[in-house]
Amino acid sequence: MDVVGFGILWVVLSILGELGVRVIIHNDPLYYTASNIGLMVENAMDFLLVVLVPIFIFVGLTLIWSMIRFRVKRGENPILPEKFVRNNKWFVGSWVIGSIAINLLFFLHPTASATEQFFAMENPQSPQNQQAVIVDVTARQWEWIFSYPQYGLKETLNANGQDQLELPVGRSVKFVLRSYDPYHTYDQYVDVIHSFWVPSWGIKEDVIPGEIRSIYITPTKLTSFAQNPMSRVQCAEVCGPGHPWMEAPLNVVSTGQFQKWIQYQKNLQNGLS
Amino acid sequence: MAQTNVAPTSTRAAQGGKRRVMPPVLRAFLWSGIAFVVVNTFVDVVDPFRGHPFVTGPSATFGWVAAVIGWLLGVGVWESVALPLFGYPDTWREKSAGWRRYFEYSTDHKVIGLQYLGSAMGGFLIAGAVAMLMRVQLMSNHLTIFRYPTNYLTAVGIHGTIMMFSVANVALLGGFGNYMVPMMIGSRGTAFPKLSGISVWLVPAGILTVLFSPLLGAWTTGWRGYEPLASQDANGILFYYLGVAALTMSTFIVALNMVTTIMFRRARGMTWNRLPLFAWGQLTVGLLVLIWIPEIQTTFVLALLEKLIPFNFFAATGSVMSYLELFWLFGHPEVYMIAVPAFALWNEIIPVMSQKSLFARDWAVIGLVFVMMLSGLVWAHHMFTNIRNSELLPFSFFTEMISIPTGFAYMAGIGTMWKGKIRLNTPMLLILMSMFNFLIGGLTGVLLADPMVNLQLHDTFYVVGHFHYTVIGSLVFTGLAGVYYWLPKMSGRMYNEFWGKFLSIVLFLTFNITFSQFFLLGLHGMNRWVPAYPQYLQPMNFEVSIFAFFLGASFLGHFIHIFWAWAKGPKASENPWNARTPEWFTTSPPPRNNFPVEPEIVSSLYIYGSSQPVSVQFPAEQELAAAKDPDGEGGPVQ
Amino acid sequence: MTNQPVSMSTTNRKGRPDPARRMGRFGMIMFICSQLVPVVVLVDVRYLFVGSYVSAQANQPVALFVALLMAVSGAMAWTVRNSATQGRDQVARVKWMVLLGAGALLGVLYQWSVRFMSPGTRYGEVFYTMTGFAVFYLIVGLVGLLSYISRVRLVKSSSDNYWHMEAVALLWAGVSVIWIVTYAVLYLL
Repeated sequence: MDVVGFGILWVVLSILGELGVRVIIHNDPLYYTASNIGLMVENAMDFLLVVLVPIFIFVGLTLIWSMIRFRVKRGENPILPEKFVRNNKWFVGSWVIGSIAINLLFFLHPTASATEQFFAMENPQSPQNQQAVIVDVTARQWEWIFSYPQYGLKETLNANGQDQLELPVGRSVKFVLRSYDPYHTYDQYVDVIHSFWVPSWGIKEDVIPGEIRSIYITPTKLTSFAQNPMSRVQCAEVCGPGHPWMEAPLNVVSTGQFQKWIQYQKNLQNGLS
Repeated sequence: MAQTNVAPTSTRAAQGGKRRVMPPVLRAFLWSGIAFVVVNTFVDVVDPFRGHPFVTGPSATFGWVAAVIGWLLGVGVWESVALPLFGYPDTWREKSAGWRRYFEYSTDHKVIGLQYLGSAMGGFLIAGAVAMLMRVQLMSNHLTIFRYPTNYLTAVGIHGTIMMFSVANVALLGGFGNYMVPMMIGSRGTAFPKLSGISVWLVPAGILTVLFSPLLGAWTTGWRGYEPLASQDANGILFYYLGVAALTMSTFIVALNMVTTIMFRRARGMTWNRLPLFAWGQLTVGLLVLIWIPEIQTTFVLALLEKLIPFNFFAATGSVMSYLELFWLFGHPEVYMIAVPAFALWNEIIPVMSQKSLFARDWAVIGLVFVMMLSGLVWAHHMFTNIRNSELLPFSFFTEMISIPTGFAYMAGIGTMWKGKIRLNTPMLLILMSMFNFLIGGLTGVLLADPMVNLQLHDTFYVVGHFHYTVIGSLVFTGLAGVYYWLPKMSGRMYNEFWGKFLSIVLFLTFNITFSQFFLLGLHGMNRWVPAYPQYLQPMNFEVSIFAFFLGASFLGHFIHIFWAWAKGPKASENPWNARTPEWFTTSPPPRNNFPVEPEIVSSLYIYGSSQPVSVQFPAEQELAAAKDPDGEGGPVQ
Repeated sequence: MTNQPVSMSTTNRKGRPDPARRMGRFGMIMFICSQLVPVVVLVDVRYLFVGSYVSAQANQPVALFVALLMAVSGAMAWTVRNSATQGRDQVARVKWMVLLGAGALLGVLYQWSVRFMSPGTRYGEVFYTMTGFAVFYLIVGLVGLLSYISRVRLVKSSSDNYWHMEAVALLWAGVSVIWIVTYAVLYLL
């Protein structure tokens, strides 16, 4: 019986597929995750992969199974039966109900659940967000400018004079995102859409000219651009010829190290001015 | 020699206007060139704010409009439509044979269909060659063959625009739609053949406009023309808007013609219950086109004015988001304009090749219709990174739900193949590959439909991989399957089974190896629209490029094989697949009016079985009449 | 369900218009309906960017006059369409329609040329965009009407059972609706 054989093969392959998914999940499908939001994205992705693999194998296998089992040889003229089955209540019914059920499941979890979790993380009233480090991010063509109003820092630079983002680990950060050009000669508001993306944080937020947006993120790992290049701020929305180079290194350090860095930046700023 | 040739033609032209002095396409180029120069100069003269150069933004825009009109009139619209419209006699003599009829205005839907297919193939080769250049650039992490990043970004824009508007929107809709749909519904022509004969010539005009847009300066936005970046760009972006206007106009006319043809020109007995699935696909897509193409055309006119005047609708002082909303309102239905005909074609070819009745036909049709209806409710999933948080969930909901009707196409296909008598020839193989690839495209889309996962994957190479799987997976593989399937009908010749299969397998493997790695690149932090990127992504990009070149070569191989079969292939029988749809019940290639007499559909087109009657009949008294009228003209064909 | 080679000149059967005619009508009406989509987009743009504000610079009398011309012209188009179905030539009336349409066009060109409205203001942007679209459709419609007037001099209208006349009248009725909507949205609502 084709149905039974197919069913057994599907189960076996699905088990193998799930084992493969375990390996992928173990190694992080996002390659490198270093923030609270990133972890949530990773969980959502893991769940989706677990459910999708048997579906992929089911449909893929039907194609291959039909191709092998039901093919006729070249030149052979098979005798067709009087009538073919043109409907099968059980197959159609379970397909329709199954696909609706799976999609509703996906909508409830991870879509709605993770989104709700995200909303909670983004709640400005929550205790950790009220303690957040505030970083004003200005996206201009083509540079990320970071300023730390709580510490009076206007623009933080590294030793090479590049814009640099450095944050303490485990503490919520409020990014205030704006797209305009403070250095423009006559019109500061001539700028375009950029997208604030940190690949290792699992989130991006478009920076729209004329709008101010904010986002709360908590970095969870000590990391640096030198250690993993996914730890960088990258513009993800095409913004003109300088787009590929619109990036800035991101270092996440311990609280003590962060205070030192703030002091260093303050000295740098005072020395410059 | 040259002199003796010229003299008689020109005298004959003077006599009755029956002979044309010049091949129509050449005349079209000449007329459009003259029109451009004249109108461009005129605008220069009257423009009070003219800048320095001869070709300014406004002058190029008006000059282009004149050039397109000149182009259309030049290919034959002047004698055949424009003059008769104003009451002058129609002096156009349509050729009934020979290759030249493909290079001029025609009202034969089969000629028009092939013109569309040829234009789509030309666009595919051009945009594919541009993609190869992009892959050469991406082999290293810094600028190599492109001197400036703007050049690379212009290449990305040209690739995307030509592929979307002149291949994806054209091959299955304009090409197979025009050629096959009238025959599939048993009609002897389309509803508006003149309109359709005009519209096909907008495609080459649009392709050339977009291709030569860098003449007016590089543009950096990619195929979506996001504001306010677009209004910062050089005037090249104007040719993007204008080229797209021509191409979308063509698609719009195809839809108008197809919807009306299917509504009014079905053969006797071609009830809605018997209507071929491909016609259903064209009908649903036609409605999408009639709603959303005017929408995007309006948006692009607004964007054009934004650049030209300039206005400030979509600048920081206006509403940047409005452009995004307006673009994606069209942008997502666009995806289904591409994919729905492909779904329909799966279930057209699968029953034939499986020699088995189409399974759950009602559900397959319901799937097409619901995909169409839901497609207008999902656009903002392209904007999860910039819409309000409160808008995430509704759009995510509809995005996830649209996979349900899409799945019905799979259900019908799988149900049909199960225990069928499958002939695994090239078209069938390509259909199976298409279903497999689109499956990957769809399942990777489930991840993107989840807003949280989307926030990480959006604007990365993961998305690039996803939409290449959906578009190439559905449209290109299915389109190729369609070409092989209908090749014996269109040319009367058969392809070579070995080469067809061999090339398809190579295509499948190189396609999958190339684009599956796009997912990994995206997850690893590769963003889009970059000719330069961090060093750690270079090894995989290098390897992807190598496979991409093989992919390009295998497409080329397919095209060469198809051209060979068209010209030199062995003669095919009239109905080599034992299909039941009406297009197979006539000679190959079909005569001018498709069928000797009006066919009548007498039984279902998708029910197979040993005792099934033949589905198409030609009533006897009409056969008699046809014998008296051997040319099969039967009266004027409007 | 027509499958015979069709032409527009087939005579009516049993009081129903012949299929080719219905097909032509269907296509024309689908086309006109689809062109309401741009109008919807433009109306959206108007309310999105300027709300219901009407600039004090707007020349109300000229705008009203233009809209009235198009309203009269559109009503005439409808009567022409009715005559077409009954097989009566209405070339004189079509000439009046052209005249009224040309008057409306001149009215808008006058508004543009004296630049009451600065294109640098929001309302000005909306004004030029919406009237520009209307003018575009008007020109298309005028070409249609002129083609009919020219054609009727050389060929009898009955040769295509007055279809050309009906088609341009339908198109012109659509254009006048677009003009009236444009006027109402720009100046009244």
